[in-house]
Formats: sequence, C-alpha cells, structure tokens
Amino acid sequence: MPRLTSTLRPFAWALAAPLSLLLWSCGAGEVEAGEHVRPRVVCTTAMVGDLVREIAGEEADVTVLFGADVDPHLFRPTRDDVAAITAASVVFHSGYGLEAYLEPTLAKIADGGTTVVALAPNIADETELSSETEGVVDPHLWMDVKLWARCCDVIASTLPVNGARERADALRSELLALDAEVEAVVATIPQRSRVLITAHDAFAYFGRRYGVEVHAVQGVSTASEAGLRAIEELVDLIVAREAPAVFFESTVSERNVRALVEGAGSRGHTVAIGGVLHSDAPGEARTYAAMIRHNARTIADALGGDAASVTEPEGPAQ
Amino acid sequence: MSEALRTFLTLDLAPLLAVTFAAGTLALLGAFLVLERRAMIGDAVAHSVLPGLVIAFLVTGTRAPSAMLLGALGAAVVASGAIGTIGRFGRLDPTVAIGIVFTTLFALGVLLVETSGARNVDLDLDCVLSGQLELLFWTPPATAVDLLRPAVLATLPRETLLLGALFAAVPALLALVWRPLEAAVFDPTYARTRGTAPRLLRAGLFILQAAAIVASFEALGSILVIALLTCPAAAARLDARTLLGYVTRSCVYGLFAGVTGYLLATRTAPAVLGSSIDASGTVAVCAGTLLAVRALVVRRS
Repeated sequence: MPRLTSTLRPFAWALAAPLSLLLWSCGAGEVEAGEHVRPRVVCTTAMVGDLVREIAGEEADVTVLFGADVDPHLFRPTRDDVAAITAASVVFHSGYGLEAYLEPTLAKIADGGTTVVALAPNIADETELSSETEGVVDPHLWMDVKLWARCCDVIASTLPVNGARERADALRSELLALDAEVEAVVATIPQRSRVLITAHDAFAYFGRRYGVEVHAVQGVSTASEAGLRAIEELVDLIVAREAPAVFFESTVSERNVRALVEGAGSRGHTVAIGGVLHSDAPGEARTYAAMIRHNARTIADALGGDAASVTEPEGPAQ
Repeated sequence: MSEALRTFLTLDLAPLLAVTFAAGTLALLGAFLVLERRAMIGDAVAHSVLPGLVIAFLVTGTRAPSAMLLGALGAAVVASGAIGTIGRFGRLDPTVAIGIVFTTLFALGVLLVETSGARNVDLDLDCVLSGQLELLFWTPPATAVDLLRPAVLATLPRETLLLGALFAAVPALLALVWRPLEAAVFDPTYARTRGTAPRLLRAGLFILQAAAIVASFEALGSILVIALLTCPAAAARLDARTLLGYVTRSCVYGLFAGVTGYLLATRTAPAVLGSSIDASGTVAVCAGTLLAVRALVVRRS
C-alpha cells in the first residue's frame, strides 16, 4: 500500500515533535507547589492593590496584576495573570466597568467559588456616583480620597487575616490626612482658574470633592475615540475661560491634548501644558498616595496656585 | 491529584483542546479555500460580521455571547454566499469578490451602528474577534477519575465544546460526500452531468467554513484563524499528489502547529524566558514556520 503510507508519513513526525516537547518540558513551568499557609490575594489596579497590601501586612500574599503604566480600560490578561487569578482565594478589583476586558474572567472565577469583591460599588451609594451617560457609572472613584478611604473597611471585613482591622484604621487616617492635604493644595488655586482640562474623563470625582470644574476630550473609557466636535467645544471653552493650562495623562495618548493647545493657539489664546497627570495608573509615582499628591500639586502649580505652601504630612503614606 | 496536574487541568486543558480542535477543523476546510483561491475569506468574515452583530443586538436587546455568535454566523454565511454568487455571475476572480463583499458589509455594519440605538452600547468587533486562548480556563473536578464522567466534561468552556463538536462533525461530513465533493471541486460540469448537485455541495461547504471560522474567532482571535486557514494548506500543497493526501496533510499540519505552538508558549517559554507568551501568536508563528520549512526541504520529484 504505497499510497496509504505516503499519506500517513507526515503523521509520524508531525505527532512525534509535540509529544517529545510535552515530555521534555513536563513539570518545567510550575515550580510553585507545596504547603501554602498564607491566603493568596489578587488585586487589579495599584489603587486597589496599595490599600490591600497595607491592610494585609505580612499575613497574605498580595499580587497586583496591572503594572504602574497599564491603562486598565484596555488591559488584557496573560496566562500568568489567569494563573494568579485561579490560584487566589480573594480577588479585589475596582469595578464599574474599569477592568472591562477582565470582567468576564472575574465573573467566571466568582462562579467557581472564589471571593471576588468590587470595591467601588461597595463604598458609594447612588447619590454619590457620577455618570456622564445614562446607566454608565464613572469608575474613577479613587480620585476622591475621602470616598476611596472607605475601601479600608470593605477590605478589612473581607480579608480573613490577623490585625487587618487595626491596620485598616491606621490606613484610613493616613488617607484622610492625604485628603486634607489635597484640599489645602487645591485651595491655593485662584477661584476663577479652577478649570481642569484633561485627556479623558477621569477627574469628575476629584473635581466634585475639591471644587474644580473638569472637562475632558475622551469619555470615561479610553476605548472609544474622541470626536472633532468634542475638541472644538473644548477649544471654545479654553478661550472663553482663559484657562491657563491643559494636562496630559500618563496612560493616554498626548495627541488629543496637543490638538487643544494648537486650537486655542490659532484663536490667539496661549494655553500651557500643565504637566502629566496620573489618572488610571500611578505611572512614575508608583503608589496611589504619591499619585494623588503628584496630581494635586501639578494641577495647583499649573493653574496659578502655590502647592509648596502646603507641607506634606509626616508619616508613611507614601 | 498533584499540583502540576491540577494546574494543567485548570489552565491548559480547555485551551489546548480548543486550539487543537480549531486547528484541525480550520486546516481541513482551509485546504478547500486555498485550492479555490478564496483563502482571504477568513479576513473577509472578520469584517463582515459587524452587521450581524448589530442586527442580533437589535433583535435580542442583549450582548449575550450566544446572540452575538448567532448574528456573526448569519453574517458570515451571507458573506460567504455573496462572495460565491458575485464571483460566478460577475465573472470575477474570487479575491475581487471578497474585496467587494466585505467592505460593503462592514460599511453596512457601521451605518447600522450609527443610525440605530446601538450607538451608545459598546458594540464592536471585539465582541467576537478578540478571543483569547488564555481565558478558557476551567475548574477541574476534585479527583482524576471524575475526568471520565460526561457530566464533568460538559462543564468545559462552551467555546471548547463547540469547537470539539465541529472537529467531530466536519471530517465525518466530508467523508460522507467525498466522491461528489472531489468532482464538484475539480470539475463542476462533469459533476453536474453525473447528477450530484455540485452547487448544493459547495453551498454546504461554504456554511461549514463560515461556522468554523466564526466559532474559532471567539476562542482564538481573528489573526490566528487566518493563519490556520492558509499556512497548513499551503504547506500540504507542496507535496501532495491527490486531493485526499492534500486534505489529510493539511489537517495534520494544522494539528501539529496548534499543539506545538500552544506547548511552546505555555511550557517551553516559562522554562526558557521566565514567563509564558501569547499562545495564539505562537501557534500562528508555528504555522508560518512549518510552511517555510516545508517549502525549503520539499522534494522536487
């Protein structure tokens, strides 16, 4: 049967190669084994992870999935991320659609019996939520530090570790001190200059808490593109209000904000680039507290305030 | 059950089965596409599904995966049929027909999104195109014996089960109509005189191809689907002498690329690079490498 053997010949080597590969690498990848006493906790963003790490202390293994420069709206998990999620006993995430691509995975994990907690829906009632379009809640709640400090209670009551309550109370007072600092920093900005114009709509809660009017080129998610009309309207606003500065965001493209500067320039109003804000990830600031402090001080300095006159409180809230 | 086995069952079993089933099915059906110079239909379907998604959303009012899948399948079948019809009546090369159909359908989809209530819903091609193998993880049973129970296996991800059903059905259907199909592909006129309805057969093939492509999109992502439709078939064409040999080889090459690529990405890469790499991308690279190697070492006899 020469015809049959020539048909079957490719089978031999085509099947031998993957089999030997499987045998060779058997047991290679997974080195983590054995007894695990400490609960494994997975967090999505740094804004969530910093709080959980602080409250868990030495009592749990905390993994933060999103790097400091990752845009959570566009994050897609890798196999290692899925491995961390499936091995965890508790998963904390931000919620309200921030981790859009991860949500089906989190729902699946919750069905499998893992505790999955969305922080944002647990800290604010309907009247405290901001929403641009009907039915879509703005997920950037961490921009209001006083509101975000309520996460401490939620995390402490979910985490089954010793001393969580005490560490949560200490963290809450640190965050409330940070909140007061931001309030004082923003208060140095002259009243008429309190207009914050950014790349995407991440600062609604910041603006409401600290008394700043906010506008953005893109909506609450960076997934959809900005329209020409949105840019045109913002240029009108910048010129009419004589806004001193507009701001970049570290996780969003600079292109749209540059368009604002050029648009205002062509109408005879020079608007400065106020600096780079960290909206959805801490970027170079590395931590939640440092990111909030950086944002407040950058905004105040660019809009004519005097951030240096407000001293940073002593303590470990870095 | 050992930790390593549990990890394999949780993270790898469902994606490995999915990529194997999909690779086998796509390479088998892709063999016919390459032969008829319609290989880019994979890309065409990727763009043509948009109107189907919008219509499915408007009819059902949800973005549930099953509704989106049905809408995409409907659009894919329409696109596939339109490409065949326009090619025949317009006397056009299949590539031209593909170019006409998918741009028109995509534009129709954009128009529907803009004019209907779907505008404020986050409805885009990502719903069905951006499948990711890594996300097909599974909660395995407590003991290894339970793996043999059908009720336990039925809890595998829907994507894997769907691709498994296709991988079982497609070779069986092709075997059933093999002789007439051979005639319909190579000599439609002869097939018609023998009374074997070549048009009906090819329409059936179109529907199978559309179904396999759409089902694979949501598990594998669109680029890998196109790679698996073309590379194994192109490699098999280099050394096959009969249609049966060609189709079989294509299927085997597809299975090889699927399994090897997945193992390289999830087993070898962690050992060598320290972290796993994207499985879909690695499978596509494997398929391309296989074609390159085959082209370099093929015997010219």
